[in-house]
Amino acid sequence: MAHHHESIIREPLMTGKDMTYARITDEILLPVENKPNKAWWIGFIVSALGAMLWVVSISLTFWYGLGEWGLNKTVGWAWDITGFVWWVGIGHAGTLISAVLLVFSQNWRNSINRSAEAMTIFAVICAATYIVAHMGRPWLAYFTLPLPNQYGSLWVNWNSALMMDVFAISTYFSVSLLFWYTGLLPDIASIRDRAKGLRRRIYSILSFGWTGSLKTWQRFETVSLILAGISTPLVLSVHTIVSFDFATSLEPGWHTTIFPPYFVAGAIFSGFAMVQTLLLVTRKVLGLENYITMFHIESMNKIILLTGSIVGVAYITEFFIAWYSGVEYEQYAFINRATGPYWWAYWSMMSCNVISPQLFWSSKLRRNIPFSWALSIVVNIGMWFERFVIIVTSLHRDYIPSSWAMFYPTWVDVGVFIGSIGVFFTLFLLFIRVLPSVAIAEVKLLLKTASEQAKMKQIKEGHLEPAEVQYYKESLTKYDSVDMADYENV
Amino acid sequence: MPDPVSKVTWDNFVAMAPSDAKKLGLDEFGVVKVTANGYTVELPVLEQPGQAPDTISIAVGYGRTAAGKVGDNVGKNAFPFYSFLNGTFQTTAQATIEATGDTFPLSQTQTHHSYEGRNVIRETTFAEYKKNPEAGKGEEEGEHKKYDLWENTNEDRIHARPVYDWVMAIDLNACTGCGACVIACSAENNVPVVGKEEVGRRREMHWIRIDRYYSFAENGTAKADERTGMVTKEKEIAKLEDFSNVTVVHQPMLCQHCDHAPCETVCPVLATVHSSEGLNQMAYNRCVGTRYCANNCPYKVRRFNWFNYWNDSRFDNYLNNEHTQLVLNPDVTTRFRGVMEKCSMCVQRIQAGKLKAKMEKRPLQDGEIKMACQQTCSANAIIFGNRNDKNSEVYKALQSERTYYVLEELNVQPGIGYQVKVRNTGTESLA
Amino acid sequence: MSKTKIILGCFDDPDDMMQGITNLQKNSVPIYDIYTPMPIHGIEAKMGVKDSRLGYAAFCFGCLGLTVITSIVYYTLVGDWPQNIGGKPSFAMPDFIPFMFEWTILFTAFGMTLTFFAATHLFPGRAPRVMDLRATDDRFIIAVDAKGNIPHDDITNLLKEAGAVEVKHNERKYVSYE
Repeated sequence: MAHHHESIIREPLMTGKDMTYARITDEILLPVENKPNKAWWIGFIVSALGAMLWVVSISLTFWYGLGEWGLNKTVGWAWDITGFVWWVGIGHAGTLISAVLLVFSQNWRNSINRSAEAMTIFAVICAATYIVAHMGRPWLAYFTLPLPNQYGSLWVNWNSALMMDVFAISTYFSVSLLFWYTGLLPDIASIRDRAKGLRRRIYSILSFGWTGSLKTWQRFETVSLILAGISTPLVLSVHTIVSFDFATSLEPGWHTTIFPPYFVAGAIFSGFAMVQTLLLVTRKVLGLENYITMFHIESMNKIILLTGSIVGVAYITEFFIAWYSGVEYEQYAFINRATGPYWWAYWSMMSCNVISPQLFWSSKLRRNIPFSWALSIVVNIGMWFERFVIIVTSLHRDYIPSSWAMFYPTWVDVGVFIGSIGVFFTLFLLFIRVLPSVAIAEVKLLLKTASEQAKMKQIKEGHLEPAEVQYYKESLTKYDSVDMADYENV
Repeated sequence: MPDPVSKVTWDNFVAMAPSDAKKLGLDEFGVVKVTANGYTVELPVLEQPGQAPDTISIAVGYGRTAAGKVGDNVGKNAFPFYSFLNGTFQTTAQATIEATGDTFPLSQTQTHHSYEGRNVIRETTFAEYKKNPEAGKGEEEGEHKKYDLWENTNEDRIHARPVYDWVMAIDLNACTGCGACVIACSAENNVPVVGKEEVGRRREMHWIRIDRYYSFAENGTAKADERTGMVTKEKEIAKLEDFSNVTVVHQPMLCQHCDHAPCETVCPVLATVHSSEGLNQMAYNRCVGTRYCANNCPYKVRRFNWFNYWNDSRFDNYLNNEHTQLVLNPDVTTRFRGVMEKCSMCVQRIQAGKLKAKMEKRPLQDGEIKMACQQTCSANAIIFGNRNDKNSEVYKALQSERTYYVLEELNVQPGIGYQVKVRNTGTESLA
Repeated sequence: MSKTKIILGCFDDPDDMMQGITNLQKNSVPIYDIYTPMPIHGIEAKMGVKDSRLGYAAFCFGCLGLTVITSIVYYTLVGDWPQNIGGKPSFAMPDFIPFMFEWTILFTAFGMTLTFFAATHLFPGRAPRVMDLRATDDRFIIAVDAKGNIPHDDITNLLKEAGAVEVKHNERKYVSYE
């Protein structure tokens, strides 16, 4: 639209003086087109060591058997499914940012959706490794697929929540990959057109021959919108299905209908925290402060606050319903969580998930980058404990007291988990070297309407209410990428 | 096999009254030096409710040196504590005990010893029983309505059990907790012996287990349960001063072969389904080892093969050795690692019995097929048979007014009926 | 005879390019195509391009997915080998809803996107038909077929009036990657 003017009181989504389309392309493609710096190498070596730890731990598990983990006949799932749900939950924020915010026309998603969606894909990869690793006979994992076979064609159990998981996670992974890659095509074409030699050939193949013509863009936007529209219920359904692993069981503490919304809220909570963990560092190291601005950081913190509060309300509801139901097993399960042998896990969960995000009511803390980063780590630790508490405390003391047993992790359990974090970061660091971590085409859309430069031009044209301009200038003070000196005389 | 009362495997120990252990300042499994008749051993202490204060007991038969891997270096020899007096062995002696400050972990198959007032155990006294034969069964709590979310599924082709409906009746009154059924089942079904370390990690493979619960008479500040009049909750037991007035109940727990089995619904690959004869089947070849079924079983009777117990050099059991392998029952397959197993209601015996009757061209008689556990039980506490046959022993046993089902309020419709334990006391209180 | 095959108006601002389109349309110059580094709002209406029918395709694929999965579940668990699983009836409907949901979405996504790729001729290894290398960077290109009847200078002037930073007369339609 030629004369689309955004209201001046809206904060800019892109900062920086003398921004041009060329400059956007150059800055975002800097890590892709140049050799990596020391920071990247340090990160990569540490992550690669973690990934190697993962390889070693998984190999031990596959070779000797699941006995290498700390599980027993009472506690059949512990770090494995905790890790699985943790990773899937983290993945959901990416789809939320890409899909849900697109459906709601939230333009601030434009600069963060590429990295967030990449994070989703890598997180789902880590989750999928857990699914295969936790099986007793993983080489037979294809038994979960309804393929015709020689056993009289023995099919699969469509009643089982784990089967639902298989379909949900595979659909989620493939649709996310499709959505992410389709969005990447214009950006890969940008790289292709600036590259030479072998790089050009590789990116040419990857770009599918993208040309940026009119009809292509029109179809692209339609496809994006529809994919976003179906990804929204997809993300809700996937974590609902993951919650069904517990909700469709009989165990006290698992058998509760609050799990679907509770898990989805928790997933978004931990996912946004992981996005913060990644992007707050990435923007500094890659020099993307103009694109991932304080507005983005603060908005994500607000979502963390909202979903953290929902999770807190869910905890209280669970507790209330256990008491109100009068079911002695359910009541015992909750009292045991708070006062039994795993009380320390429960209280870590409570303080990390319920108490700490409430600190974001303070706008000063919400806009403080080091604090946001630290809190994002705390939230993810808390969410890990939440899944651990749900899984282990419900299993270790259930209906028949003679089976009550403790669970202790082994080094292999810990190695698989820390290793999966290493795998995740390795993939992410490779991603930022090979592909643009910000959606170039989408950010270019913002230059004329929602950028600091465009708004400055608007102010200089002089047709605006002074009160609104003042409000706008005040909102700019929190940005770390804006030089307030420019606004002295405007 | 776990010791019937202490549930300790692979070792002997010093059984000491909890008050004595507190006096000596001993931690759980703290090692003490016991000296009597000029002989000394160092053994860990186990707090044993019911052990008379100022006495300790040590099981004999351990600490062997020429018994092979089952007995060598397992526990300590207590026979030298015997003395010979007037032509008989004196099995008691004056002993001195000295704490050493070390600990030696014991592997128990059960570490929680009270049933928390839950109605998995139902018991009453003879006096109550005389007044009301249904005493203790919990009917006063209200009849649990049998209902189904699904309609009419018990009668259609897939779900009906037209010919046989194999069930069991277990009489808690008769069961002495001896554990012979555990051994019989393990022998019949090639159940792996996992060793002390694995038992310590709570991975023993017994398909049937005997749960032993202590219930205490009220004393100190501890409060009794409303339903039983005994102290059975962990929090209250911690407040007890005197552990001597204790009663014990043994409950054999095995796969209940539930008609609405929670394990069947959650297996992703259909490795466990229900047969048309009422058995919950386990297809080892199909199992991929997700362990969801074990997590969902409220009775926790499913066992997972954490390692290749028969093929891993770290496990030196009867499955590994080429000679002792001959002990294996050829009718039952051994299981690979990563596969779930559980009581199969000796399906190999059921099939053999049915086949024999078929070859002899006659119907199957009640009592012809015996379960391994049933056959070995010296108290005849386990009765097995066909519920569809109204003249069978099991049908008649299940008609008893003392019959109840464990966790029946979950509506899993288990196939094992237990019978209320009636204690022979003239008083009306169990305590 | 001029060997120019295609005339490219290169703009550095999308609004200027829209003005260029207006100029050309007013003078009945047929526009071959527009290449931009990002989608431009309102350009489809201006150029009279019909709405994409991918939405309808998506819906059809979704229905297909629903039908496929329902058939698979019904055939396997009710038709071919119904089993007694926890006493549940063979067609335990509430349990099957998640599968139906997931495969509706899967088929919609893949069907529509693969149709998009097919319709737009996008596939791995496809030689890119790019007219100007900066079309994916910072230039907004209007491409006019030079083989028409309109004099090239007129076209050039119209484009320059709208604010084109460069007007190229190319003898090759597409940039060679060799």
